[in-house]
Amino acid sequence: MSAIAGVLMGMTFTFYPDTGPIYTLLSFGVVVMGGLGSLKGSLVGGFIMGEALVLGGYFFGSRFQLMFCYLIILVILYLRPRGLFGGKG
Amino acid sequence: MLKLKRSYVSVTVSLAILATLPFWIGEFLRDALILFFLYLAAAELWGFMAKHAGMVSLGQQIFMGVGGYTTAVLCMYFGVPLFLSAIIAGLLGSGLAAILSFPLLKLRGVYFSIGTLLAAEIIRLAFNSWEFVGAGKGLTFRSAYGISTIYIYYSTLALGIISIFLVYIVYHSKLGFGLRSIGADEDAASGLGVNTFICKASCFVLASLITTFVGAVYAVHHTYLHPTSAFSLSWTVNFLFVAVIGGVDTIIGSIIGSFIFVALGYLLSQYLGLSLLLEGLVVLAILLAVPEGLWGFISRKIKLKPPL
Repeated sequence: MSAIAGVLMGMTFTFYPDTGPIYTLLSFGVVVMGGLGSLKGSLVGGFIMGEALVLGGYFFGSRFQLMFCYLIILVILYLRPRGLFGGKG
Repeated sequence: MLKLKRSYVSVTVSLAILATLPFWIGEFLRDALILFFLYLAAAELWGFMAKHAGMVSLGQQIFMGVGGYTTAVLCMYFGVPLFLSAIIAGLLGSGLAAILSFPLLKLRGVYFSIGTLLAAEIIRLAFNSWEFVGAGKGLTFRSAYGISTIYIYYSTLALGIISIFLVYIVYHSKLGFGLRSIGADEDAASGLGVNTFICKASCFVLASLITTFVGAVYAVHHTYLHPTSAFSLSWTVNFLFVAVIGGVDTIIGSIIGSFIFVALGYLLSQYLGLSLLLEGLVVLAILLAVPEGLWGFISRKIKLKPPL
């Protein structure tokens, strides 16, 4: 699945060998934000992450794009320690 | 009684050897020993936090970076003496840990690990775009150029010894019992009346304090700071390696692990480009052969009860 996502990514954005860790962290963030083991959570998490990345880039510039995204995940984790669909914390 | 006396004697002798060591070994070995004590000090507390309190932090590099940057900025821009700025850096680092523990300690298990990693990335990105500390260009620590490695050796030795005593004291204190019960089952511990937040926060703050000092000393030794390397995840991964090679649950485990890790780093440095790969393979081989760590294996073989 990651390989397919990688191919799709390569068609859309520029990439280089060091790209990996950022996407690993982002996808970790997506899964954790939605709640581990929850399919619906990953879907919603991915949606929020995509919006956060694009809107963060639009409003705060590319410099603070990733920072904004990570902050969003942390805030959501603070409010829901088990993720959005991971049951009560 | 005799046994106890013998252990006191051996500790005193080894301390005396370590204290006079920088005068009769070369520059190279001194450098290796500095790294050894730095990894030892940080890994000892990382292992304690991960094993006994169940908090696998992937964000200890926050404190490495903050310690280094605070020391450098205070010393160069504000003219504070080096020693004092390292102390202030320690206070600042533990203060930051106390603030971070409010959002982060609500999380458990994997969520805590990811949370600390995200916090570290946020702080790295913030330093990467903060012009005052050199942003992406990095910061050259000019005031530390003249510092003799002998002073650095003694400060790292002190850090290593302090961290060993700290782990020992905390393990046998009320806090240690609380932490171990949290590590076993947090809900049950809280039901038994352990104040889980205070226990976890003090453990996190203590680990961060030592890691901040390690970062400060490393910055003085290295004289150059860059957000990507100072806040790199590889710091925490190195502490993890050191703690896990020797065995996480004992004090001696981290000492053995740190020795092996530093020796491996120097031995493999001749294979440029392959060194990290080989290092990973060796560590993987050690872990597959002895999953409980080297010291765990040895102490089981010679039927010695681990001291911790």
